[in-house]
Amino acid sequence: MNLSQLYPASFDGSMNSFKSFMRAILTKSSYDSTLKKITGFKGVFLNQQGNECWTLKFESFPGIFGLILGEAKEGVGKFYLYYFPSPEDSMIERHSLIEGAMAQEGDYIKKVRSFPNFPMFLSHFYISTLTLSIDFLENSLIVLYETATRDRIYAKDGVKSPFKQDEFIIKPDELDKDLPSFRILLPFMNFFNSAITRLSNTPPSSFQIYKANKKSIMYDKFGNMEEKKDLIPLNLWLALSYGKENENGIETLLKPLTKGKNAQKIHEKMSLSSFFQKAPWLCTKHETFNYPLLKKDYLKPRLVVIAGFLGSGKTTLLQQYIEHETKKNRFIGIVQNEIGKVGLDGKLLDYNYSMVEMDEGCVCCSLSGQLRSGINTLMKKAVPDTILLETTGVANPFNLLQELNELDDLVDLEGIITVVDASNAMYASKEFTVFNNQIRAADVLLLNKIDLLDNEELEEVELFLKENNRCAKVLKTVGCDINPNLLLQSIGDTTAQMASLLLEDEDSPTNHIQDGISSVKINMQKPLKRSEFKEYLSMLPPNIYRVKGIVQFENEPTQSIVQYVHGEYEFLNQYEEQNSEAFLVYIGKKLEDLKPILNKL
Amino acid sequence: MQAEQKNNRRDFLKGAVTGLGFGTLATMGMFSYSPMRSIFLPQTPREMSDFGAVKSVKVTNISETSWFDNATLMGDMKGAGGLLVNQYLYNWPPFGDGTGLAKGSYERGIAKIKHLLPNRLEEAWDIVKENSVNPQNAGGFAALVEIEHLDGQKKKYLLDSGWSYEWMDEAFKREGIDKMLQNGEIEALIISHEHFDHFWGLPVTLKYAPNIKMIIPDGFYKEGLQYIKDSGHTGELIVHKKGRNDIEPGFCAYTFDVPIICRVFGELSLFANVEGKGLVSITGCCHQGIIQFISTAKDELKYDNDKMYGIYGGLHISPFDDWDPKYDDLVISMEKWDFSVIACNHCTGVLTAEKFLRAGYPVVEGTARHRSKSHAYLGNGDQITFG
Repeated sequence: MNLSQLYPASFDGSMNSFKSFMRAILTKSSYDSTLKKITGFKGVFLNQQGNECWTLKFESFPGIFGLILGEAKEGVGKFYLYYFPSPEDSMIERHSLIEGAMAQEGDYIKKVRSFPNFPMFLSHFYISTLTLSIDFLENSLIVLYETATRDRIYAKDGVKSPFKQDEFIIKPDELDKDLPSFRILLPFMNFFNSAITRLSNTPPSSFQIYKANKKSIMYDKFGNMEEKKDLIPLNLWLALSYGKENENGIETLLKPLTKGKNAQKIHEKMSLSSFFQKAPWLCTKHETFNYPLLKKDYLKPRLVVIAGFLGSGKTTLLQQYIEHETKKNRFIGIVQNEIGKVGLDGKLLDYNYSMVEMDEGCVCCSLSGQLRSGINTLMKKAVPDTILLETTGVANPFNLLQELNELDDLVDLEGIITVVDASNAMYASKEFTVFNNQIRAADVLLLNKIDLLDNEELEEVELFLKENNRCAKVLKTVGCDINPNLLLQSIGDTTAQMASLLLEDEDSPTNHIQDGISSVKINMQKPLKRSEFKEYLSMLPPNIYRVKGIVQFENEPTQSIVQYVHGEYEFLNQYEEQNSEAFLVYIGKKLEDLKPILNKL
Repeated sequence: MQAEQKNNRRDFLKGAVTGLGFGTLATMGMFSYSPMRSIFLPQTPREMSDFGAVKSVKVTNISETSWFDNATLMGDMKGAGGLLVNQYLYNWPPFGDGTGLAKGSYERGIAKIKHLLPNRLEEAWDIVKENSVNPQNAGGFAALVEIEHLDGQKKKYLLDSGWSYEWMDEAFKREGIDKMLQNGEIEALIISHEHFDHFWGLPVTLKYAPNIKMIIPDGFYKEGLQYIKDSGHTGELIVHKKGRNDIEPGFCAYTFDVPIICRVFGELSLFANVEGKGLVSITGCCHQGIIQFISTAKDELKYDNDKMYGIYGGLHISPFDDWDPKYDDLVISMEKWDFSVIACNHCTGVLTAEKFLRAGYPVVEGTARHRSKSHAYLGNGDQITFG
């Protein structure tokens, strides 16, 4: 192993060095989307106010993991690991009552973010000690976890209910705390070991588990504590070495910890050990084990479908999404499809982003097979972390589900986000079946433009959304200003399948042809007068639902983007360097009757 | 646990527990035991050290457009195998060897142009264009920092030297940096970090001043150190270790030991204490994260009015993804520092800068010239004076 791959700066064994070492591993892990996906690592917050601590989240547990450096001497650093259950976590019933009560307090999660600053937090919620023994001269590293299968505390005299006399919350001699610390440790351990294996490109040279019986604790009604013999809980020590096999080093670390405890090595063939043989970070003598999985750089991108009616704010959401992901150094691919036979939304994006536009009609009616080829085109250059499929404003997502499910070999379908223009929702719901289908198919509903409504109107829209889709989470925004991670968190894995099931009840999904919606594109040869154009827009009949495009106004240095939705419109200045053909796309019902209006410009 | 007892516990937790207070818990017979009771964490006091003061700081944005197309850049990174791949392997300019993406090496790349550095950069760039992946996408980051001392004396420093020889030479000429270098007006070239877009344009500076003093943060890899030699640097090279390093009274650098994408380690940022105003922070990319950047200054530096006065450069919120997306937001995290002047660009994000404006933050708007993307950025060729 080459330790400098994990930490290239000079390491002097001080507290600060150990903190930097841990910070470096966590930072690099954050850049590694493959590692995140394999280990379910969902993010970390670094707190440096007061004592430095890291709080992390993993897919498999709803609570927050806390990590802090406790001491460092002679090349050995001890980190303490905590688990703070979320208030709704089922694990909370296995924590002690005191810990459960702390988790119910209003500012609990906020305090967790800087838990070392609160003594009660620091002394409770502990699950494991992580010891790192680092030797840069020998290029060797030992990782040792100390934990327990069960952390048990008995209440000798029970705990009485404060509400009902003679009723016990905990009966005498029963358990106040029965935390499966080892089980909770597993996602962290899997992550941390995988990170080291992957970042240093070295599997561990040895892996051993030791066990010993563990005594439980019992308190009485006066608060006296005593040890209690217990058959079930075990202390566990899990030790990995990287670099040269380091039996001596491991023994030196274990000795003070296991003193007087009669610790025994768990043999390789035994169940617990063989369970770990399947861990992705462990490569034993057999080449077929999972370590090569960690060497893999290719993972399927996730596919997020963005639906939403005309003018609801899909392109704005796309922009927010791109900027957020770009700042996180992640790569987004975009597949757009535009009913107006012209890649307008591509031009509306500030970013010349990796994009495939599918102009020939609408994905929902005629493009079966084209989505696959679009995604293939996109992935030819590089595999994005996320692909966003922006559907046309009049697409019915139900029609897409079949094809999306067939893309399983290429992408992981994450879900459907439907953007809803709050100010137009009630109108559109009466006029357009497709609009209602978009709401029903959504995993997440992004209720946008809420600033245009008063409370009463907003309630009406929210009620309407609830009636049409009880499963989807509703997130309210202005200008689609939302952190994409918040969207993804809201998407359940199974919700898209649920929508698929719903589809089976529908005889014939509606598409926009049945709604009589069509579009017309008009090229603009000459610059327009701004005031005349405003007047023109305000006179458009209601069956023209949406107008968008790029125009040049007289005597203005830059072109303007026109956004018209149902009577409301805005003009946005383009940047100087952006100069494209001027055009307008009209979308609405019965456009063929409107030739005189369209030709007026 | 029996079902009944489980229910009691759930009801208790759901119920009035918050109203009970921990005092009453003991009267119910509930106590807490913890193996961590004796944990002792050393306290780190705020040590604010005095590093003097300056009258004003002027920053000229020579170029903030490090590359022109995000998709191309990210596509190259992903195509080469991810964010942790060594930047010298990409086959990006100027180290292209004609073998294509992710197959390059420093040695083979530099061999093609070394004989032309640092004086014959146009010829060198022609060769680079032939052999590199997406040479047209390269731009660069560089800024001129002018310190005005309390006695009125002025000193100039160059922060970073960009990426593309062609683009940077043009930008240097546009802002008159070439002349300043030739006349020896610039005290030192400070490289914020080893990234391609801040460092690889080094020969453009050396073409005009090969013996200029150079300051780099600790953590440069051997290729980077070799490139300094191969580019024809003949002056003094100073390596700033982790932590604070003074440059002039009232003007210091701070090295953060942070891992950065493309296998780079360590970033250096600049601080100036402007008399009567407060602290001015100048950063390249701020990969250490704005929160760590600013809280370090707060903990370790003493500055006028205890006030975060201004900030210039690219702002990264954090190298991490926060597990709570609510907090994962630059607009929110900037709020508590209460800056008087914000001049941002480069990696800040145009939409984010626009959100700053909407949130009423004191963002200095730029002129959006020379390929800078937005007025919300202090763009290429723009200047700002703090103090």
